Amino acid sequence: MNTPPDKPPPLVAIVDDEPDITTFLGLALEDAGYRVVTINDSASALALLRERRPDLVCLDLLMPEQMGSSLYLQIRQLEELRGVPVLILSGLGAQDHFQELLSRAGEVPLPTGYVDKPVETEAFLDTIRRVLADQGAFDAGGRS
Amino acid sequence: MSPLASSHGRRAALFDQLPCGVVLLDRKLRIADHNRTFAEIFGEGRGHSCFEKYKGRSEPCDDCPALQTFSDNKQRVLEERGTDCFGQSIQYLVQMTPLQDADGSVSHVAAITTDLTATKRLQQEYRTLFEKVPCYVAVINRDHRVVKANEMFRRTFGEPRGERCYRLFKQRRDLCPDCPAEQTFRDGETHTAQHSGVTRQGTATQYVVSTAPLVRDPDGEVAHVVEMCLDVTEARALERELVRAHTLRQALVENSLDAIVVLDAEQHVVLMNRAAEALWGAHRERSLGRRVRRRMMPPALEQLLAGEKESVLLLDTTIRTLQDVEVPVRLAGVALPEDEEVLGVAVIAQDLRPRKQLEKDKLEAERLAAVGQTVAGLAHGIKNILTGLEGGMYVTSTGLKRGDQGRIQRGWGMLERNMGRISELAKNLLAFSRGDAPRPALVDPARIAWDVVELYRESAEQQGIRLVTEIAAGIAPASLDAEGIHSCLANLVSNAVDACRVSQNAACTITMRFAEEDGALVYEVEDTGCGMDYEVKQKAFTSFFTTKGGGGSGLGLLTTRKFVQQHGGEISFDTRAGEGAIFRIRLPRDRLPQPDPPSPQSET
Repeated sequence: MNTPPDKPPPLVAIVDDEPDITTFLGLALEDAGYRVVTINDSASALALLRERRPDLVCLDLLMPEQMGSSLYLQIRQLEELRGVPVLILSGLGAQDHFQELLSRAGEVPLPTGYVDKPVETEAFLDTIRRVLADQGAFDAGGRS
Repeated sequence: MSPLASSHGRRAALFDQLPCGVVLLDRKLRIADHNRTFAEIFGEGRGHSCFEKYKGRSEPCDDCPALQTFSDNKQRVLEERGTDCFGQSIQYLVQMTPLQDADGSVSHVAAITTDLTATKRLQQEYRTLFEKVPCYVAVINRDHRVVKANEMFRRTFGEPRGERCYRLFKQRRDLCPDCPAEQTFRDGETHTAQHSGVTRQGTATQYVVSTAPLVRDPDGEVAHVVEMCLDVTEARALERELVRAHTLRQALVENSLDAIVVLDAEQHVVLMNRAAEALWGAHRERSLGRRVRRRMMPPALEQLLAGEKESVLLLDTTIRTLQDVEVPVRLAGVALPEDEEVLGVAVIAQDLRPRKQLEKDKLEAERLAAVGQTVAGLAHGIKNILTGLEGGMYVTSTGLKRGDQGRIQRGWGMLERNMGRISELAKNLLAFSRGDAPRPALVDPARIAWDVVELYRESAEQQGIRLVTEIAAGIAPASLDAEGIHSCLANLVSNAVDACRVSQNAACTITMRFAEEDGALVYEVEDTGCGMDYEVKQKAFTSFFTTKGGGGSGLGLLTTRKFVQQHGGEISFDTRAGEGAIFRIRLPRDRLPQPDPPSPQSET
């Protein structure tokens, strides 16, 4: 654990309309030493994210009907959230599809990474660790 | 007969046949003799006085020219007016010639009368014609100056006498190079030419000019020419306009993408354009003037020819080509009337084959898209369940590792829930895939709506929901998969019941409507329940999306949409959170699946 004692561990937000998935990923992240906020209701997601200012967001694409992508665009357009890395959780296995949606929306930076469903716990935690390290955030991991 | 006698006889015959009346008067003004021509005009006159015969007088005229001739022995000619043997007024020229005896005294006067009545009348008629003819007529001399002009000429150009014609007609200072009058002066023939002129006001004018010789000099040269000038400016303008309109019409008709055919009252082809040649597979040259075959045109056209209708519009009909191929067309027919009669019909037809093919392709594409969406949704659903299972295993195993009973139970719950979802999914998938192709049969479309209402009436009442029907009667049977449409409507009503149950509204109503609009069957299910907010609305047709928690599979509306699309129709809805929702299924009749022909087994 590289976290300095006076710094709290990074806060990871998980946005997915499936409670079982937020429970699963939330527990896995907490077990790995992160602080977690889980959000099942996409309507209130943006307000919560602005309030909690997570260090990383895991965002479910939900479905092709734009819910996840429109939330992603909103995150990217907000001054205070613009720099936050976003991992897209997707059951579509179609990064290209999502990128096409984004390119249609205009000049928006691409997501930091993708996590395909079904989520494999260790691979998921590895990705989180790597992204946070790249961002220069403190690594909370190592406790397994 | 002696030569003298025969000579006398010839003279007598000549005397009788002279074309003028000849009378011999004695000094007492008695008619001594006259020829036959005189008798034909004035009647038998021997022994009568001249004044009696010529003028019906009882005494000599005051200024009797015969008496003057007797006295001065001089010849004189004068125009007189008298009365013929029928009492008609007559105008004649009379020449009095003294006839001397051997001693030189005048014993008789010969009065030679020429009847002028016809000539005078003719002269009058010619003058009227000259004056009143509706074109410019002028007599011009060799100097091209107008000697005489008619009324219309004078009215337009003022008093033209002495003016030169080229000055009057064209404001020119010298002779026109192609002057027809000049040619007539030269060759004595009639000449006609077209000339452009300018009026005094500067308006361009078109003329047709004819010149003819009028009077010749004693030496045979043409001294005067009559010039007749017709102003054809308006006629030329009309002609040009007509040509332009004709050219335009021809271009429009010929290049129209729609086939255009005109038939006369006996159904002979009067006109057909290129598109019509292509549509009917007929050659224009061989078709024009030929009677069109009855089966090549829709029967409705005969109503036009019979004068029963003025026009027909057939949005979806067929024609037959010369090769007897049936072609779907949209066709408009217009009767061409003249007074009470129907002169013929104009037929405008649009080949619907490309459109029908497009529609078919579009339907196919919609079906494929629906399948694609379903498969993508299915994959997503399965992956979510798998993630839930993965999560259940993680939570359970970490709970076991730590001996954390709460965590174990939580993980176990997740496992159970997602296992349940798998079996639910499998069950719904079976339902979804059941009857993949609709099994259409001719059914009463209103009956299906009634059946669904009956199915829910009791449970709705128990929950305090009013179930209202607005179902049109007398709608013709349609080719539908009754079972499929039934489950669609049942799904919509079931959703409406749920929406009412969770609604804040005290008394909710569900209305089932059915009617036919513009050739489409339209079912509507409206509720005054909770309605949907934007988010839910966006996901309404998403597979595995549900607002009903464990109570819904998220496949209901999707299945409904699949069925509607398989019937060539569409489903749409409108909703407002808290106010209710209205779902509308629209099934155009011409896109409905056709019932399969009965198989031999089912016929028994």
